[in-house]
Amino acid sequence: MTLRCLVVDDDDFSRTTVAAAIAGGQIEVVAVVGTASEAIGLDVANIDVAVLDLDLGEGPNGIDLAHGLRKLNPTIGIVLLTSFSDPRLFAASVKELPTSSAYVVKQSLKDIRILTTAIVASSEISQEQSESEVPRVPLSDSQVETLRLLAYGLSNSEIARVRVVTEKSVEQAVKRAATALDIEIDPTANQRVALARAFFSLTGATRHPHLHR
Amino acid sequence: MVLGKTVGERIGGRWAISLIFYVLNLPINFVTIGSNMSGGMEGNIGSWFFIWAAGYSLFGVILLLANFTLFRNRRVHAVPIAWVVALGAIAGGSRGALVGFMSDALSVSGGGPELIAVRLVTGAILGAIFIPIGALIISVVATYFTDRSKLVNQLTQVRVERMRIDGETQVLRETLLTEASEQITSAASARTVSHQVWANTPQSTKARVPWFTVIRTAVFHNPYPGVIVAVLWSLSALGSLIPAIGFTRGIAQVVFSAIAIWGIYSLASRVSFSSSFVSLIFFVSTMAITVIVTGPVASIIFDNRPANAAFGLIVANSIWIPTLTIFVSIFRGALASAEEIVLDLNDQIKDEEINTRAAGNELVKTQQEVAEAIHGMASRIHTSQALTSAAQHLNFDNLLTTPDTHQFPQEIIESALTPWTGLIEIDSFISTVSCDAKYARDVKRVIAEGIANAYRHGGATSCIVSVTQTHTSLLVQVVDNGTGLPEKYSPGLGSAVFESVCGSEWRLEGNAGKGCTLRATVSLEH
Repeated sequence: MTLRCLVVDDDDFSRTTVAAAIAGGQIEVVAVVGTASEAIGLDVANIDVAVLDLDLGEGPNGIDLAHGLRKLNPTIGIVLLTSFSDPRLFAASVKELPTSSAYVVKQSLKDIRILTTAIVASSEISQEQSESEVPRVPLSDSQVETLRLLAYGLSNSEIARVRVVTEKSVEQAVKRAATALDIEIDPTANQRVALARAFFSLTGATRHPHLHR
Repeated sequence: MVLGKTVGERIGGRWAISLIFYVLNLPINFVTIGSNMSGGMEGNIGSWFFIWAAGYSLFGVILLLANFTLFRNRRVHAVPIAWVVALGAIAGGSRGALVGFMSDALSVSGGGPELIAVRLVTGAILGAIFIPIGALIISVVATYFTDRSKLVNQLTQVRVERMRIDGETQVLRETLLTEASEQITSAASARTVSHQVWANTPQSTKARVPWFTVIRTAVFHNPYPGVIVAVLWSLSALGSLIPAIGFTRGIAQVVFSAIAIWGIYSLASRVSFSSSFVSLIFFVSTMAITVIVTGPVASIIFDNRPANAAFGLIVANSIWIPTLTIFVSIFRGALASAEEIVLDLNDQIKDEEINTRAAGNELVKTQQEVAEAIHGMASRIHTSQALTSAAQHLNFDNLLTTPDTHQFPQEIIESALTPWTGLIEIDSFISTVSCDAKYARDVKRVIAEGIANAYRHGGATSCIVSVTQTHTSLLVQVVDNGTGLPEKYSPGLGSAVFESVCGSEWRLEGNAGKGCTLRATVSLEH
């Protein structure tokens, strides 16, 4: 049985490449689109698996779209293909993934078969709804948020204002994030820069540094 | 005013450049030197060359000195025309005096104090006239060029847009991509192909500088300025003729020639031709007649020297009169009808030129895009298996698309809604908004955040977005049918957006029945 597959990615190059790379064998790519609204407009009932980018530019993100697709087709398999090692790094306001979704980080794709296997698996387990496995960086939600704002260049007092917390707790969050990410206090390096670099390296790319603030 | 600048600004701001203009005088000077040699003057060509070089150096030094001292701020504040005239007089006069003095000292011409005086006065008058005129001519002609190339660029852009709308660019891209993709078999070959495509990219076509067209148009607007040419020519000829054939004969020959120039030009200016080629022929013939009358004919009547002595003067005239005529024509055209000349120049821009340029520019851009795309593909695709299938299945239509940009406030605001089409039903009531794009983008951020909140956290399936403009602000309202505000509402990052755009002018409230309402005010004055 072939799997009818949809690829959604706002980056022209990525979506054509992904589509071409997964096509063949058990997988048939039936649609390749760049926006959530285009995807929703398709005949979703006849699609088995959707491979979605998390960052779709302005408007809804991949997780928003995944929920929308599930509403139209409750058994559709969902694979999120992204460079963000943790969806919380992408934006503070992301929802939980729909059940039985796969979350594939692009940097871990040493072989295209990892992706095709995930696609096949997501279609099979979508019958028995289970909790999605999403990678988590070893940081709390508030640490992730603090780190993001820090990476975009905000001062501690500004972060405190935006997050409606005290400056003291921002300092705490920064310190704990540094410990969690193994960033030691080094007199020769600026710790904030090291933290910002760590943040961007976890997001996989600086291609779309959206300032979600 | 001449093309957006006053004459004062043009002359006072650009006088230094007229040194170039003065250097155009070089060939005529050489010929004059030659004429003096064959006129049987004592001395040798080396001495004359030395005198000539010294004269020009003095002229240049005075201009350079002025450039760095009294007139150094000319780019900020234009120098008054009177000062430029004075500078020209000083530079021209000192050059004339130096030439006279050196000729005397080196005994290469039978002169004396009166020769030095004549040279000083004619030099000063010529300098006083030519430095400002030269500055004006160069400045205005430069503007002709800029105006013309500006228009060419604009027309090219319009043409490029049309190529895109008509799909010509798309066809070009597809052809290039198909050609390139046929050669790709592996990651390494993709890289090679991308380098080849890049290397094959032609040089970006620069606007051709149509020197001849510009000069011709500038001249033919007013080609026969008889009186001015007669006066200027007389001034410059006196300096050479009086020492050569004596005061009375010299004056007589100059007066005769001046009247001849004026007469011939007056007749010529009564004739006009529709074809520019015929005009050119007529211009050349008129110049030839003038040169003959003021050269051989005048010499036969007034010159008592042997025939070969007059030869140099005739040659000098044959260069000097047309040159003078062209300069004066451009000058008069610049002062009297610069706008018309620009219009004429613009009329002459040919469709072919625009088409060639547009096609050339698009080819360069497209080829570079294609090269970059293939190169990017080569470095991003890791396994050769994936690459092969990518090369076979790549949908090139999607590979290169230009992002659209919204410019109008209405468009900017509405662009917040379109990405959500299908996920959540949106009814929008956006009154006609007229404001700076900056405020429209603020409104867009608020709406985008409002819709995202409604969908993500309220699970809303529909919402109503409205924007109303008042004198001082834009009122934004987003009402959704979601689950409303949670009991413990934590101010997340959405509130940071509202805060940064609207300050404290926003409220998010749960509705009595269902969903919630966001009201925000974007002030048009912050």
